[in-house]
Amino acid sequence: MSKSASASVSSHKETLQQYQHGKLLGVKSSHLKTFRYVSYLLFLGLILILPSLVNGLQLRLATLASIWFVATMGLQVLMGQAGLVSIGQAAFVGVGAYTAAILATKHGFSFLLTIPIAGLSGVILAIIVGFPTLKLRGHYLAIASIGVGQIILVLMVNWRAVTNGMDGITSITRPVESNTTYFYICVAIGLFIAAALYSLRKTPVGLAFTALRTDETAAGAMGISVAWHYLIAFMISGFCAGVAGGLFAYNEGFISPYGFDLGQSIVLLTMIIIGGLRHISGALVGAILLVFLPPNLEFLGSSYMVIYGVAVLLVILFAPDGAAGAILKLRDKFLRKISGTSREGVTQ
Amino acid sequence: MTNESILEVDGIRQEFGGLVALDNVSFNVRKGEIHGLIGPNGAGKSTLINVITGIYKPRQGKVSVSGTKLTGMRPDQVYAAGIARTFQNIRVWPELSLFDNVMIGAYRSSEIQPWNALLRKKKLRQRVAGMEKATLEALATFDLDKIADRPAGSLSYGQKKLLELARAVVASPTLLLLDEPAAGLNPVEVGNLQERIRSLVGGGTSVLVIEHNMKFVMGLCENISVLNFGRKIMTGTPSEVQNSPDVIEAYLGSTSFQNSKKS
Amino acid sequence: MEITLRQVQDFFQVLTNGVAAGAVYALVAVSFILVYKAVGIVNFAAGEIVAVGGYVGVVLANILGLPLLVALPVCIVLMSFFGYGFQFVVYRPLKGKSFLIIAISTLATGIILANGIQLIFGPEPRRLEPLLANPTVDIKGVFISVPNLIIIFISVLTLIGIKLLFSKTRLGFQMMSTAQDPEMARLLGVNTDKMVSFTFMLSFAIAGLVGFLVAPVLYLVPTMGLGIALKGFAAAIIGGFGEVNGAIVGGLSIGILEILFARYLSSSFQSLLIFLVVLGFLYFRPEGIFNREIGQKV
Repeated sequence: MSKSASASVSSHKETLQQYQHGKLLGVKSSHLKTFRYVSYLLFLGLILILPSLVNGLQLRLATLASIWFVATMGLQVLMGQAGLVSIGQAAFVGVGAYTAAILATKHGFSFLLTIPIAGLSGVILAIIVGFPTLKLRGHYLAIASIGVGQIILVLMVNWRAVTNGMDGITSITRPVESNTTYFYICVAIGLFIAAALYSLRKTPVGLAFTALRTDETAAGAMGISVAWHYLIAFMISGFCAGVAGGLFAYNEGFISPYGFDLGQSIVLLTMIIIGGLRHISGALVGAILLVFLPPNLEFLGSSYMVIYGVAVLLVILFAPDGAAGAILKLRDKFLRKISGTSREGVTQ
Repeated sequence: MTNESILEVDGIRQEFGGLVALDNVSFNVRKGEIHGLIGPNGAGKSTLINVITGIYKPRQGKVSVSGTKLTGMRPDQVYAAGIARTFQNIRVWPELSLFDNVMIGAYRSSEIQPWNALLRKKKLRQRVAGMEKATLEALATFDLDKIADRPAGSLSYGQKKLLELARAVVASPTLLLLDEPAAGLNPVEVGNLQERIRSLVGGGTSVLVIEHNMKFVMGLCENISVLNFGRKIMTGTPSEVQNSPDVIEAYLGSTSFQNSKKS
Repeated sequence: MEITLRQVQDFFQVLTNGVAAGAVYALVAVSFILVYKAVGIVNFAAGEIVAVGGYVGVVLANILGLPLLVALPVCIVLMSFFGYGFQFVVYRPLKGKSFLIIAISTLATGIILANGIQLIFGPEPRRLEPLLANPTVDIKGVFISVPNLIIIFISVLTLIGIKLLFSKTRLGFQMMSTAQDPEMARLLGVNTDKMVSFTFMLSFAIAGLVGFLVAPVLYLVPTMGLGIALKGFAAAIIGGFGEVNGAIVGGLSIGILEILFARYLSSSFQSLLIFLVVLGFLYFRPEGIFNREIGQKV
């Protein structure tokens, strides 16, 4: 390359950095940065003081929300980034939960070991299911994932020697006694995974997911190995589900096949769609919404899932960015207002 | 020009549900040449490109590049073997920036593993930096570097075609397949494009170009292969092709060819 | 080991049950494969649509008191209207959308249908009276359930009808050409919109028939769709996803295999077997038993 070209290379590196820091949104990058730091700090502060603000039940729900946040982040990568559909996420959660529970109760493994192994069990299941299906078209995974959900359920119920059948596994003791500490542990694991997924999204692997989602053929022709990247996404999804399962098992102290059926898979799917498929934060928003909302839907009895179905249908058709998308839009509007710029003014 | 072949297409046969799309098609592209592939609509040109790039698996025959057999490879493996392409109907990622579009072409998945995002961040950064450099250079080659941060969907038609070219050359392919690069461009842009393609060849890339625009092909290519109804009629220089009775018959009634003969 | 007459009779009894179940799975698979071929949508609400068919039967026969032989055709007609309407919700507005959006929409529709049924009819099982009064016939000591015989008989008739429709009639040709290449079909003067509507109607009519047929054998519960759809999907995968013949063979094999497995080996792991068979196909023969190449449009 000529000298002038390499000079423009360095100057445009800066353009790109500005782009990543909100210039295209019509927002001053310093404002965006400040806003991010302030909101992160506020969020962390809220997490820290939350246990002292709420009652025991609410803290339990908050812990549950942080656990489902982990499982739903996996779906965000799989569905929101790579564009695949899995309708069996709860089965992966279940495998993680049983793995952690069995290792903890029967073999005396410590929490520090069982949680990563639970994640690994999700990865292994993802490989078994993903390896044959991801080479084929997208609907094969969707169908296979429903099948996997059923199979895992059959195993949980009938493979009594290992799973203890419908009686489930009891007396899984948490590493810490205090509800507050366990809440902090779950949140910390959730935020750690979120940070890892954010940085993965910024690497070319994240770009490859987007490329595959929007045009699989073009991605293949540009050297993206389709099946491998789909498998990466599916393994990440399985890992998140497995870890969530492990955390869930310790949180409840008791697990049985009930919590891991198709209904739960649909709840997780509803979380990410209502929360916002396109954003990792959508997993957080969705988990919070769906954990704290259902008590108010009780008048519908067991048919409250109708509401989920309608909500999913409406969001996916008319607001595919979900709640997180709406929140981010508000943020941009606010920042543009204080930056005093219009979107058009900055992008020329 | 050497006689060494970069691409060898040997006896390719492809059918779809009993319909023969390609029948015993063979030709070679020599190292450093611009080779044209022409033929009336439905002659099988795009099908052939899809066979070469691994999107279709041929029923018979084989394709090799620099002696490496491509038949049976997946599209991404074909790309890794040094063949990049553009599409007839532009396929850029509209929601991604120009930079990201080209970056995808530069990304070699063998060099970046997902766990690098967590561990070994330094190594990851080094490798990504190399890809970013190649990306910015490719964008600069096609004068797109000043607008690299725009979403590709906001580009004009002609700019998108350039973006596809930038994306195709970012990994320095040995062979470039261009599927109707001049379609939809105005005469000025077409002339511009010819220059750019020539300069790519100067840089060591061979080119196989499919085109309807006869003037464009005749003025650009050293050799041309002609397909009709899935069969190869001939391979020859532009003047040989223009004077071949078989080719004229294949194009009979096709105004684009008659126009190009008149001009 | 000596095989007694009783064991032989038992085997044939079990086998007929398997064939009946297989015929149902084949019909379900055909029902959603028709839509898949015509518009490229995998309908994840396929099982719930069968359930709707069954409950429409319940309304017609048990609540309105229509005779079964009247209720059956009325149910099929109503379901085909439902199919006509369905395309305006999850197909026409979604044209050109990504697989993810279409899949989630049909899935959500299935959730709405299943839980809607539960809201209306409650979770307790419902059933239809069988078309004929005697529960079983005795053929040389083999007691065969009459509803199962009816299922087999009507399924065979339906499948023959579908084959004839596509091989002999103009309408069938037009539907098929629409599925294969809509552009070309339009050029040849086929009203492709109409053909898509017909396909949806036919698909839902078949699903309604299945719902009506299984209602005397299986009890109807709001969540019944899932199990039926899974078997239908499995039959489709074994049959090469998109092949009507393959789906029929796939459905029959699954029905027979699962019932023999349940009878002679283990009933608690029977769905595991089907899953392993499907997984085996995905690993070693994704193109299905008839080895049809999976094409890709570019």
